[in-house]
Amino acid sequence: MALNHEEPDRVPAFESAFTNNTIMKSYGIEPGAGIKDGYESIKRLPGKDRLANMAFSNQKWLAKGLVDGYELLRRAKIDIGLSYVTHTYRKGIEGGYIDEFGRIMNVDYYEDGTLILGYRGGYFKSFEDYEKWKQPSPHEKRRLAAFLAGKQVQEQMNNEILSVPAIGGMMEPAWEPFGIEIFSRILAKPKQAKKIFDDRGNLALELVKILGENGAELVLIWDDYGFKNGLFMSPRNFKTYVLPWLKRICDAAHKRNCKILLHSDGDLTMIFDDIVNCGIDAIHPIEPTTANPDYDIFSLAEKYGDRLTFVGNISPVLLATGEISEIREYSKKLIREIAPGGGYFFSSGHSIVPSVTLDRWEAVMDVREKYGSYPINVPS
Amino acid sequence: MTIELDIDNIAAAVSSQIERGADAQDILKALTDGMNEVGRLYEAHEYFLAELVLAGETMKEAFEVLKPHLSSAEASQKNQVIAATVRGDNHDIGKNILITMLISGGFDVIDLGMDCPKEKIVETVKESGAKVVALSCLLTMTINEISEVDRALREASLRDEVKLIVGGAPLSMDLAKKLGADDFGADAIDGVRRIRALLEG
Repeated sequence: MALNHEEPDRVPAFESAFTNNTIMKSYGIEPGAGIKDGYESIKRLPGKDRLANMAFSNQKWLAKGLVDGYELLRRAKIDIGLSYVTHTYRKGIEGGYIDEFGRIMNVDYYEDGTLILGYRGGYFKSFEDYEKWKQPSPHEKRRLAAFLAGKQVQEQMNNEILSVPAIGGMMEPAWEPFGIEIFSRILAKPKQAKKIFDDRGNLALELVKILGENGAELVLIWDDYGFKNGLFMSPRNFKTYVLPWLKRICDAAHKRNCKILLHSDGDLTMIFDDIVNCGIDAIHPIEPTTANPDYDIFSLAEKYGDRLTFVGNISPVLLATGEISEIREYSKKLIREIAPGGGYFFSSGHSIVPSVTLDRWEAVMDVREKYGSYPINVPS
Repeated sequence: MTIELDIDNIAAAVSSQIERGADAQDILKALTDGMNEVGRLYEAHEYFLAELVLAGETMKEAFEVLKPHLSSAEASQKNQVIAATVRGDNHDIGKNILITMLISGGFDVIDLGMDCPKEKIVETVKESGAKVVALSCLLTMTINEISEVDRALREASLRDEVKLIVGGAPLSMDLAKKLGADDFGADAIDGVRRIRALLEG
């Protein structure tokens, strides 16, 4: 209902990731010992790549891996749980793995044992390396397996959680497999750049079609277009390589009664209008820590709130180091100013990372509990 | 050619100039002027991150050819900067752009890479005598490493010998100071300006 700009019973809550063992334990859930143990044991096996790839194509195994995570969300009253249709494991390496796009991922652990997956760099050193790589296909068994695993767990939980498939977009899966230094050289060669962006765009488009045709109501596209100080590349390059695909993806989704939620960090001011005109239905998070004070969720919601659902945006820095009173006031302001009329999901400004403290998290949830029911009534 | 990001031809162009007897310092100055103009275009939102990075890559190509012809005088400790991404953080885009701009601005940079423990930073300060440590931090969960570096330098009685400047997505001037840093760079270009001021101060 919120996505249709109608008022549901309460403001929905969303987090793009919840990687915090301390908070997880506070809800009575033992952190995924299985995931950590599974990774630690599999990485030493001679046939680890084949095993891992089989596992990622197995709906039952994937569903089992989602249960604890979705239960955490249910207890924390977060309404959406993600299933990961892309960005999957391709090949193990020391300290991590290479994913299907060619990104080198680090596996590490925070001081409270939280498993952390972090981007370390690109596997491709040249366009020729990219051309030799077996490109991810939308029709691999793992795609629907991941989506259906999420739906299976959603059903087991009596639909208290909406499982939403998450896929890679165009920008991040284009540059991260190379690293920005090598990709900047490729971007200077239009034919090479176009090939890479078109491969990523086509993958995302076909996946949205498949997911929509299999009943997905909402698809999240992971795709950072920018960073603290602005865009990764020029608006002209976005309009050439990325946004035409985003429009096609949104059109394909809408034809299949599916909506698109775009996750993008960064200050997107210079292309925000263009992004909206592609037809996205929702956007997360309107990064609260950019260097541009005008890139602000409140003014954007005022301007675009009739066309766009906003999802965000309590700063992760605030949630790690801020005063409780400041967190409470900002959370109340989000609900007070953006939630009326629907079209708003309550969320952090990125995800719940290991440095978010329990007391700060509890302050956020307390505000939502007290003030998040419709009709909205939050005192100033 | 730096401004035009002509990465494919800059090495040959620099070689050609050297063969014609051009002074290496004059070539360096031209490259530096080019990099400064790239910085101006970036701040004017005409160039973006990809162009800034490509300019850095273009400079690297030029430096490969130019470096052997430059004076081999020892690096002055006054112009030496230690750069690192903090422990637990594997991002290095900002750090690498900063390093390129520092080198083109005549600084000598010791790059300690990503995921750098505080002990290594302290050891390098001790050994090099560098007066500035520039830390990059892109993850909220690693910002406390800045305080750790500050504390480790104090424990080693080195904190008064060195200035600590930080940069990265979760940071601001206020937060940087709270964490024990002396300064904060909003981006690589601002970082170079502030490092110059810290060293001149």
